[in-house]
Amino acid sequence: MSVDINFLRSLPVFRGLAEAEMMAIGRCCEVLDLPADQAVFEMGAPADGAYLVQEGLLEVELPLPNGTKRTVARLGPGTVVGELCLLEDAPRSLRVRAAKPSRVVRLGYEPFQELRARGHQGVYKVIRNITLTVCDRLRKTNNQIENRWKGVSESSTEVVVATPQPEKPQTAWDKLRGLFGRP
Amino acid sequence: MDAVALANLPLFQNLDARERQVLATVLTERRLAPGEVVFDEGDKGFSCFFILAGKVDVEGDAGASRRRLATLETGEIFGEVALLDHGRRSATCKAGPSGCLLAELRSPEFDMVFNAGNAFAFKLLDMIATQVVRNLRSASAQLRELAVEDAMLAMEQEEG
Repeated sequence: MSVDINFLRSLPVFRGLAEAEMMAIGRCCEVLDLPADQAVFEMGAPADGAYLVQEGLLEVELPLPNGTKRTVARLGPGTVVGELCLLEDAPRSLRVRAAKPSRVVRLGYEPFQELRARGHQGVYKVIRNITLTVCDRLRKTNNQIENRWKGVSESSTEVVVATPQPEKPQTAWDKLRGLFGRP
Repeated sequence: MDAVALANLPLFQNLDARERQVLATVLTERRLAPGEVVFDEGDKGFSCFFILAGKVDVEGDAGASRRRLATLETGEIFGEVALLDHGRRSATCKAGPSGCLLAELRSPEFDMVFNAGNAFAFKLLDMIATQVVRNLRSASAQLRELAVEDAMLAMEQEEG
């Protein structure tokens, strides 16, 4: 299955790439068709690249100490997950699985880093685009943490992964504030 | 600005003389008196700063007062998030007790060297990317812990 370059081109993460740059990135990609419930990656697994959702639906899961898990984000077509590893390698911090049969494109860590080491401009455009989204997530995450300690009511404890669409607003914040919201 | 002064910064050490010369043309030198403010929390930002000499104090709002969050040393970089996203400054930065000498890199100049494929721009971006990812991972880990506590508490209440 060859990678659909037009699909790649439609993603914000590849904004600003010239044709030849997009083709070079395309050669770092492979298409994966996942059956429902198959894990894309497990928490703690070594990072093997970013995943771009072409069709279907992925769920981001937070494992809980009692062995159960909570869905913290749902990722539909056009979203990207696991892309932080392209900037800096680290084990996966959450589990991601296909919630229904899904087609994803993996932008491979190793070929991407090979181009990066050669100073490939297209790769650096991707790094810049991802860094911008990281800056945005960092500002939002810091605000959530700051509000928490200021005792401002939060509607959600979502761990922001890409474009989270929470199932329902969480209500435990207010109760938690009673436990942790000391001056 | 003086290309020789740039050679002392770790970030610039691997650049050759010509690359440093290019860099010198896109950086603006700023000398600050002790305690002088570089930028205030909440200001819109369009640049980052390299500390060529002296120290910089980072302060944050703590209700009516201010508290020091960090002290940055010679050779460090700050304000790099706003260089990329043109957002608001998340803290106040001011010159340390002996003043400081800074090199400012503004967004249009960064864009220029980035689009020209200059090695410095890529190295700087590598550094910024690493920094913001580490910051995000650390912040996300805190939030994840809160989310786990939150979910466990909700479950206990559902059961109880």
